Amino acid sequence: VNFTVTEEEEAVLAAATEVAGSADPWTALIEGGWLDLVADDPAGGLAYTGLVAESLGAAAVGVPLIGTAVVWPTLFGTGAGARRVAVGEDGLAEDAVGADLLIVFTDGSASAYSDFSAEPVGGLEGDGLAAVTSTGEPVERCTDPVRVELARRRAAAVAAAEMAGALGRVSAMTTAYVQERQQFGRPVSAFQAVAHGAAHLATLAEAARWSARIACQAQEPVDMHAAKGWISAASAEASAVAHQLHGAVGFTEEYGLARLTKRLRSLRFAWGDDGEHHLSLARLTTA
Amino acid sequence: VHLKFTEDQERLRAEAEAFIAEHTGTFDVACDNWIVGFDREFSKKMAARGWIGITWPTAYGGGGRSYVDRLALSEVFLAAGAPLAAHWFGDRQMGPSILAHGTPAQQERYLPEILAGAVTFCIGMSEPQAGSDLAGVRTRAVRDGANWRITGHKIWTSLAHHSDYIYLLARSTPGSERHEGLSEFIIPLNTPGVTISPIHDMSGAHHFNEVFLDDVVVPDDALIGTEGQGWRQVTGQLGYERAGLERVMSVWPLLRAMRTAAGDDERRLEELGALEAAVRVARGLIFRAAATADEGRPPDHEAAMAKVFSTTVEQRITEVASRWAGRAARLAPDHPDAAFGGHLSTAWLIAPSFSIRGGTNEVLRGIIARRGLGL
Repeated sequence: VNFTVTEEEEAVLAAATEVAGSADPWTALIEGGWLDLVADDPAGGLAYTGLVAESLGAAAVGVPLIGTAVVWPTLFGTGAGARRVAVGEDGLAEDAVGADLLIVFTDGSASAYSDFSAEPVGGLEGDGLAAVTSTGEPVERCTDPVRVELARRRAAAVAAAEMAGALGRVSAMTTAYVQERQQFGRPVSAFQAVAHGAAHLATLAEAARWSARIACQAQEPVDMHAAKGWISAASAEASAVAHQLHGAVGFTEEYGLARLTKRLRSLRFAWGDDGEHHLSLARLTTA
Repeated sequence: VHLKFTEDQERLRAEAEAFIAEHTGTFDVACDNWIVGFDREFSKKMAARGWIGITWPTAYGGGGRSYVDRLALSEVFLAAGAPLAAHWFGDRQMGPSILAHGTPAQQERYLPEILAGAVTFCIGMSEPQAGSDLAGVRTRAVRDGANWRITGHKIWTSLAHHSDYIYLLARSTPGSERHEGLSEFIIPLNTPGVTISPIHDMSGAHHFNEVFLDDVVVPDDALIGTEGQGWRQVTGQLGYERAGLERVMSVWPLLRAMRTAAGDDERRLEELGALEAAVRVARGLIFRAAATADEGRPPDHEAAMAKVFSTTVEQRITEVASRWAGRAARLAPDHPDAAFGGHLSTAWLIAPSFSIRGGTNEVLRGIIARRGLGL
């Protein structure tokens, strides 16, 4: 066990941050080879994909990273190329708006379709949730329940990493803002209630960061469920603290905090929400 | 970043698990047993296996291992609810402090006894007027020829009544204030002038004490480290004190009983899963703080984050268990129908202390804000 971020990992984070900040992050992800990490290295690629997800999360960039770079290669053993992969079940799919392929999970198996319709239903900006209907025969199928379960867990772990990235940014913005904002003749961070709120938020963000990294790297099922479950639940509290400490400005469309908190809300209820992952985790610890 | 146990760490844990299996039934499993479970023989058996002082250099008889190794090992013992109090403070904090600041003679005197599980240390930091504000320490140490004369009043001193030594923070420069002029001393508790008086906590248990020092005379070599540098030394220790798995595993026997009690009730399983998830996340923060120590930097705001997060989880475990138990939560711990094998009763009675001992949540959030965030 070693928590030192290596130069290589720093380089991945820096490069992915540049990708996330570019005009067309999706194309930049393809061109940088960032979607092929799991396909190229099934065991180790998830940790780096998690770092990419952290960077995308910090920029509140919503792209179909998880379906394309995690679920597809885990199920089918090859990369999805430049095709955007949506993933869903029960008629609703993540990242389905503008997708090229649709993976549908049913009891212990997964089928991929190239012919499908997708009607956007997400209420928050950038949410790719859509009502989907597939037509025609699957182009790929995976009937190995173990592999399907692995794909779901990996998706959750990378979603946790994306949320951790967003939470880190939310915390950093809040720490900066409370030092900058003056009221009663001093920065509001001079008030202990505000400073402790920022400290609490930073603790949640730090906890999220390491739990997501543990989930993506060690890939223990317990930790994968723990990361997505805990971060999903904590994202609500963290968002509330960040909005409270920002006051009115955080509530505006222009400022940028809301983009992150909206993204966190979408991700909380995607790839399994807190309740679902907590239940899965308890089934493992009580087994 | 490498976040899996190494093969060597897995082997260490497997040996510890075998040891626990072998000794099951020889100790009472209890919540908070790392701080209240005083069992000298158990500590000596652990010592015989080389499991005390595993982070200390081999040249001093230690295991020469990392802080992460210590966590990997201690997790097994904490999960078993084993009695660790007889060696815990010496292993965690006094030994490392003597290694860092002691003279060769002091190291030779104290370290082998700690490594053998033969002596117990208590921690003489808090005073009636110096709790969270530890720099308000008033205990005086005055030089008198080749001796020190020490007078003062320590409080909340866990295990003093079982201990051989108190590791004491005192003001050694007359008239000094706050962080200046403090020094650390090791004082045998059988020295004339030392009086120990019990404090029973709200669970009825006796682990706290008051320690009165009335003109206690100790030789010059009772001083540990540099005269006047006590504050720097003590704050270095606090990181180790705060960043252990005991901060999230005090109520482990209760959590284990909850696993059984959850049955196939989905609502309970979901609540249990939320707690288990938080425990895993806390574990990540604790390992991260320990890894900081392995990188050669005492954990500071990292340890504060780990502790404030972890103890909140321990308290939440106790609350959820209470809700599950309902009226059975009120039964005496030895009643046949007591909730969770009696563990809930104990857990609830000790839970308020989790977020106070070793640094209150408020102090810890202050450390995070100031030293972690620069506020």
